[in-house]
Amino acid sequence: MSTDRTLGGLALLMALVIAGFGWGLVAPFAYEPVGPSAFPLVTAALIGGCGLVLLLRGTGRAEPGVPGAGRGVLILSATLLAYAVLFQPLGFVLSTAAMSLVTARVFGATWAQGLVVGSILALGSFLLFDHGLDVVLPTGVLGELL
Amino acid sequence: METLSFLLSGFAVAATPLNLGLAALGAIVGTMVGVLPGLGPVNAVAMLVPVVFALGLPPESSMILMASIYIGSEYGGRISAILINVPGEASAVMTALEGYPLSRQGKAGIALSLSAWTSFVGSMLATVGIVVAAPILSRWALAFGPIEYVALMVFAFACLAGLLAEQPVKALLAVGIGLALSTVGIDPNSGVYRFTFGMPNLIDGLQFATVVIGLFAISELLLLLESHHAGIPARVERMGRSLFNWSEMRLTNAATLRGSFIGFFIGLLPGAGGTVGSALAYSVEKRIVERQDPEGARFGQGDLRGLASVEAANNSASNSNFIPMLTLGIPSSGTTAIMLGVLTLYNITPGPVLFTAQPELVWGLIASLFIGNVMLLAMNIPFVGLFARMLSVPAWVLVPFIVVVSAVGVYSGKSASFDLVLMVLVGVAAWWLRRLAVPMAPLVLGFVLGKLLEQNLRRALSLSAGDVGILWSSWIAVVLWTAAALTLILPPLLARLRGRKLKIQTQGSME
Repeated sequence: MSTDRTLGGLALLMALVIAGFGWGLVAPFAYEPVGPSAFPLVTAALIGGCGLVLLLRGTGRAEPGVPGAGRGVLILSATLLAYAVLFQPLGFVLSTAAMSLVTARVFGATWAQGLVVGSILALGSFLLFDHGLDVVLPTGVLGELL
Repeated sequence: METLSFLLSGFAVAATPLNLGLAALGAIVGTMVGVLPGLGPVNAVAMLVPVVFALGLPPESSMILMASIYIGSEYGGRISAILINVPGEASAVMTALEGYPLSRQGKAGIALSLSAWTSFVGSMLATVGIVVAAPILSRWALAFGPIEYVALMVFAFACLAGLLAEQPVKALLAVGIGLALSTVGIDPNSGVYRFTFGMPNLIDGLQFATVVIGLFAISELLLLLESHHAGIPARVERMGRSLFNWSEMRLTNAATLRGSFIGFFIGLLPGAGGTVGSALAYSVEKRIVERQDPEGARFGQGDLRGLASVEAANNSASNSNFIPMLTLGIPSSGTTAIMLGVLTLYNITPGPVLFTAQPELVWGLIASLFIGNVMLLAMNIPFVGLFARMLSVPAWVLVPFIVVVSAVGVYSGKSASFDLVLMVLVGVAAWWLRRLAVPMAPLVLGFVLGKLLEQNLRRALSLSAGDVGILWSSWIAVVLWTAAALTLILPPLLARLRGRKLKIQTQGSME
């Protein structure tokens, strides 16, 4: 899947999307000869041009991946996405502890090591950032407890 | 003389307790991230973007912290290259060539102390170079108007693609993506919403911190997972004698000086930082030594001269990188691009006026480079073993830590989950692009310079009522356009002529 040709195709698609949306950008009152659509169209041309070259010249040969890493990358990406989504509703401490546990496991920690890392990171960084540095973090379901 | 008094006032800024503390902190953190393979200055600086705002640091203090991380990591990168043959960051690739054989011979201590010394010499010479050259260049650059600026930025992009990247098309694609990302949000000239797709979070554009943390920190973790599965050999050799002696220093003095000069001039070019500088210095040194001293040359088996020139060059290049950034507002590496982006977040317009408008910031930063380098030398000779121990921190501690710091930083900007999701999506996309050898430095450069480029382009075309011809109506612009075209056309042409024999191995360069 991951080949230069895929990259070229996606770049071309991106250029079309940018050009499609960029075309319709018109300023209600024009004070200057160049409106808001010109620059996006230039970038679309650049991206599309590069995409075309990659598509035509690309080999279609897949990069050799590291065995066993594909699943890990998938799990890690999903974990990070879940962390981003649950950050506010679940609160910083719980979401961070869960994310750290899973991430540590992906990187080869035992369950016990993961739990230790997760709880220290979650509580330690909450105290450091929220109480120490005045970065307001969501408390979530733990609410008043913190 | 005027320069000297500015420099003294710079030392007054850099020597305040806060700024001294930040320089020391930056030097320690920089050396640490430099040691860790995979984590470079660009990741650390990206993660710091929101932190400096959360801490309410003034602009000059933020710059001092980030600059000392940047130069510190060049010191740190050599440690893992010498000890375990894994370059701690991109520009230490050449260091491993001579450094690792030395440590296999039980001379790790000599290699580490000598390379710390030559790093110091390279950095200091380059900083003196900044003091001499930057004010002159900035005065000259004041003549730049919007027309010249457009040409200059195009030249910078062309350099990134033509000089540095193995596949210029991919570097240009990265520039395009970066420019496209910079157009998201409300257009300041007309008030039109561009590419916001009805999402209120996108109205004031993509948050700088969200994009750079996604691009560098998050994608790095995914890449780390692959190298983690491939396995990193973490066997540290014996250290041996811990300090180099006079005869070793005399042997390498010429190499150090040559490396410093090569690094300094390479560092001036947009896009070509320590990686290209050290590669060039190495090949020049090898040729010179093999001609002058064919008996004693041991290149590839641990030649101190090779090691000295490489380390002098990459440190010199990363310091002289600050010249185009400070005088022209054109950063020449990913790290300096982020620093420039931070300046714009402080509402400071980078460019030639920086020297007159923000003398405290500019000279404070330059003075702190001197101070930071002295601190780094003082730290790197006695405590090298301590830094080397960073290599035994397991990935399962490091990775969650990086995620948490990144997330807190991104969240602190607008307290919105939207930015966290965006950070992850950008990170996964960047990971895929990097696996396909699309370099990230041009992308972040395009993102940082995009708004400036568009503004200058529109201003120039307003002057001519829309006639594109105005873009090459001044001789400076014509020279820059020609140079840009040549840097794009010449390298592939030469490569074809030589039958693709000589191709410097520079991989992506993530510095």
